Amino acid sequence: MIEQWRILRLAFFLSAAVFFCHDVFAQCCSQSCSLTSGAGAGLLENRHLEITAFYKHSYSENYYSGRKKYKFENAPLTLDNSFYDYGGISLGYGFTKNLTFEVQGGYFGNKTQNYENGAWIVGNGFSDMGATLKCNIYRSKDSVLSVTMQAGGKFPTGSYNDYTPEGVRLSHDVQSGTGAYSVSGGFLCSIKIKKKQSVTLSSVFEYCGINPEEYQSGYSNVNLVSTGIKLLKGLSLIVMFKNENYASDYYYDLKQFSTGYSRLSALPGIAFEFGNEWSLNAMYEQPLFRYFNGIQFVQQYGVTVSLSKKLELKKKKHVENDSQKQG
Amino acid sequence: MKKVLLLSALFLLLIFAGCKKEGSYFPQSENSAIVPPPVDTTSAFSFTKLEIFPDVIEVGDYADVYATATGKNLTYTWYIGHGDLFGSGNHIQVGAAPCCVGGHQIKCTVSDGVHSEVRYVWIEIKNHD
Repeated sequence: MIEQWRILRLAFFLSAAVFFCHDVFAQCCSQSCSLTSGAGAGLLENRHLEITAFYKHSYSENYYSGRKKYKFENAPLTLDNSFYDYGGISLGYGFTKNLTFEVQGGYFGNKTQNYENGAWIVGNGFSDMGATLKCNIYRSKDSVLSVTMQAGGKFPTGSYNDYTPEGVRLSHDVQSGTGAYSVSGGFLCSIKIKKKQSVTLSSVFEYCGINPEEYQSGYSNVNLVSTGIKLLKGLSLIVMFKNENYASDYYYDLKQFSTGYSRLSALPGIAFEFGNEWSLNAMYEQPLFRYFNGIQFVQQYGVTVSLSKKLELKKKKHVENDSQKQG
Repeated sequence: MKKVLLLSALFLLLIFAGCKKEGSYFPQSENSAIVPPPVDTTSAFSFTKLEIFPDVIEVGDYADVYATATGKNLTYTWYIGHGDLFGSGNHIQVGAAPCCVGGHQIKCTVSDGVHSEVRYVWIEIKNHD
């Protein structure tokens, strides 16, 4: 029973890690960083609250056109590198063992673009907030298979029209929000392939609305496959592959040629569980294959670190009830 | 729960303690042929001209935009719907990122605290050859 519980916990971590790997820079996508663990794929146990603080650093340094690197000739203002530091908090609550609700929000400490000629642009601020409802629709009696559906949305709480202190409007790429609502839906499936190993599959579609400046990010589909290997007591190795497909953006109903891409990335990571329901996780994101429409400045790598704590609410009441029963 | 939230906030505060503040910078070329127009602070408020050089650029290039205005304590606010702006005051640069191929309007608002006037210029960004 304890062994089965441990396997479930690992599966739950994997299924939750799925969300925390979505690209934050492409903001119009669900970026939940919850590392929910509990009652099913991506779900928390009944009346359990999970608080996760996370940090992500992403770094880019090359232009790509199609599958190949692109080098500008005689262009005085091209990017040398760009990066962002994003941190946030995710709260998840298990209403029942089959229904979990999550909200996420964060802050871009900086979104920086450095140019070859020494020019730079920096933006920062609160990101858009996201909310996701997850519902388990199937769980096999032997706990081999668990399927969870999810639906969510993002709210334009971040700034999409920020200016520098000197009164110059910051570019779209360094704004902390999108200014648009978005809706998403998908599924998450956890399959136990061995006694101590599970594979988690997920697919999430997202549709973004048009912001007040008539900009619309392309719709997206993000698919993940992941598994975990237990190394030591409380320490696990996470192996994950992510496929992202982003359609082109539109500005005033005009398709933006250099937007939209497909990418396959590997995300190795470690998960360390300690103390009373604490968990520390770190993941590295390395693109393996990519195809970009037009010419785009693309992510080189990403690193994510998160710290989470799970709390059982109304625990005291249960204890009181139990002692009353015993009495 | 308070302890967990406090710890989470501390975790994030530590991360962002050294982050750069919002802004932009563009190094001024010593060989620049165009000198920004001097601001006449003795005349009454007037926003006379908004110019761009050149008005057609390729991806990876940039254009200079100059605002000519008179009056005291002038402030300049610059806006572009989709594109990169650098600098501040009466002279800025607009960059041509690959994302922004097409025509764009640049809006400049000049104010002296009492009066305010708006002018526009147009820039065309072409694909890099």
